[in-house]
Amino acid sequence: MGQSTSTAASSGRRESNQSQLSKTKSKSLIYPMQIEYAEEQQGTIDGEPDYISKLPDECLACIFQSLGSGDRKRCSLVCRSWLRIEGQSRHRLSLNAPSDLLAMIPSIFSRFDAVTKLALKSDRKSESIGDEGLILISLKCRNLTRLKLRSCRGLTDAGMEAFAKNCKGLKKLSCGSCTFGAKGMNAVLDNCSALEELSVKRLRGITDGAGAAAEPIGPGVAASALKTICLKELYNGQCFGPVIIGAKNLRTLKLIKCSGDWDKLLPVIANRVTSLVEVHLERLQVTDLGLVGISSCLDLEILHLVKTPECTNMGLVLLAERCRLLRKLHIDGWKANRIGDEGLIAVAKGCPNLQELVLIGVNPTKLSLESLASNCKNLERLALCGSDTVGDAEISCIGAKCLALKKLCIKSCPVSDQGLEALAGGCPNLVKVKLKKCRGVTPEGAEWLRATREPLAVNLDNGAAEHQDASASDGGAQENVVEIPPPPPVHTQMEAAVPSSSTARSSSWKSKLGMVSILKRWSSGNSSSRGS
Amino acid sequence: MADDGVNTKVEAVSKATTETIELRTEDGGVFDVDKPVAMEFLILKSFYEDEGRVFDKTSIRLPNVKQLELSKVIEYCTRALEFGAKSAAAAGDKDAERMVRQEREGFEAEFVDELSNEMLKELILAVNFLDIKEMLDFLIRSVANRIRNRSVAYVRQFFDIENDFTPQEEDQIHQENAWAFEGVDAD
Repeated sequence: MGQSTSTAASSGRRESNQSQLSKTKSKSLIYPMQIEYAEEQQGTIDGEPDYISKLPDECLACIFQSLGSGDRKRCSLVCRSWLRIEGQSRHRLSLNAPSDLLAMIPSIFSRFDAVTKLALKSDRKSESIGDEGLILISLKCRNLTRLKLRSCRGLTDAGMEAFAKNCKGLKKLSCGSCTFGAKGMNAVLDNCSALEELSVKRLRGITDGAGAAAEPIGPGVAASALKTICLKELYNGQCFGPVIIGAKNLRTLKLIKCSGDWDKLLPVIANRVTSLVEVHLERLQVTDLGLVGISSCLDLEILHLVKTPECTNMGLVLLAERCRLLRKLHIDGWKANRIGDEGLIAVAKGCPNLQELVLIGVNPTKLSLESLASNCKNLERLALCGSDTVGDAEISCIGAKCLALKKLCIKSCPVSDQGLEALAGGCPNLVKVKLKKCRGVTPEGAEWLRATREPLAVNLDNGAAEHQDASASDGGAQENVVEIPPPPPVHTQMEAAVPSSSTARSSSWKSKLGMVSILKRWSSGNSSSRGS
Repeated sequence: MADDGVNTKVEAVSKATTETIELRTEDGGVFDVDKPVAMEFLILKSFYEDEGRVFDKTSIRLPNVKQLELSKVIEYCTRALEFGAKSAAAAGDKDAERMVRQEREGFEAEFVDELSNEMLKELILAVNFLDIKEMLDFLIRSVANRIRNRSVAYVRQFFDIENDFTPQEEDQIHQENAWAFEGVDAD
């Protein structure tokens, strides 16, 4: 019964020991302490003559907290008092949630009566828990701070609303593959004023009918508490516009594989949400216009641009001129060659604080690598994957010039053992090197580097297993993935046709200039309308 | 254990003359403990500070602690203070900090390796009584390590606990447990 006691302060521990003792009737400790000053000046910390014969409850609870779920289950089977203590000290619970979970809810949640973080997971094959179950849980877990829902297709807007009214202290909601809609989402935003993190993936209920506009979501009372919003694989993700724009303290925004045009919304967001420091754009329909729109986030520190082939050097150049505080930049160019030396040199010149750079499917040459090395004095982590242009000469350039570099990862690049030699003599602060699928690098070469540069950690992996690249996207293949249609050949907002990847360099100067002037006009127009 | 005047003088962390306090254990051990180490025992610290007593060479009797445990406690706390001082001195120098950390990890690994299961439990009781947070955390982690991935029967035997469930109760717990899946849950 009751909430588990905290294990923080020592005095707290004593008091709670005392109250625990009255419940469990085990031997008591010394309270109060008495001192007797005998003539020999001897003192005594007085107490009962016997030991406590078993571990105090709080120590047990601490032991359980160091154990994982499987071990905790085993501990719950040891004896009755362990069952009680384990249950009361369990704050985090992950349950399979088919529809017959309903019958177990009373017993499960009287055993685990202090849960604050709950995950409910169903699967697409069976019927999941429904509104009745969720409402019952919400009545038993009034102090819930985190809820994670996976494939709970039995939950409707009504259930989410009732839940939100019972668990107003919710700080984090993550729902994936659920089928409720805007009403349910709005109910959460209208009731949970402490909500800091919202993560939504594949919410079926917000798909519009034929042509009908989806109901807008937000801002709600949660808007000012929200710090992180992550939207993944949504149709009509734009209907979250109001909550994003209304989140005055938002720091992180991640948009991944959400269909529809984001060029219009991103500039509005960037203008209104001045607190943004981290933005991830992945597999989105976004062009340089959207990218330049983001550049109004002058405090931007972290940017991930993953597989957005309509973002080109031009957008990156303009962003780099404004976002001077950029610390971490990940670009997966999808081998489309829209981003290369030109954009990277602009980043080098505009962003002296750059600490971490990850380039996948991008082809930088020594030009940009040198510029990055000389301008970004704090560049500590560098990853180059799938670059046809990164060979031994580029590695030796890195070795010679990247003085602050601590971690280097090279994957699927035409680097050979010779490049390792160059590395051995450079990068004085290097702590770790990873080389994956670089056919020119041999185990002997790696061993040589290890020996030459002890205690440098050298990790060589030429294995056939497909490794996850450093992109922000999901690991495994997803069925029913929202597929972004390939970029259209002509974008109506641009003067000239956007050339295809193979002819990227052949676009005429005129159309390039025209593009730049549109973008510049547009971005300066934005900045003048800011600050309202 | 007979009172043969076991008397341990513990080296002070600093070489300056440090006040000591005499602690007597239940089984007749007598320990002269440096004040900084003794003040790590919150039970003593509040005894002096909260009660406003003067720290003189009073001899304190600890009825719930045996000499073997107390000597281990003193050993750990003395080294912990030393590591604390070294850490502070190394602050800012990442390499030095790492070295201190590794040294500490090495000491702790050896320290706990030498402890039998029984001794580990006794130490937890003693340290809980003396109220030494850092050492208690360390011991708790060590116990968790020893019962991790072990069977229910092993854990019962480790703690010398009898199974007081009926078979029906066990069944119900198994049933409830089956609903919980192994948390991969990194939030």
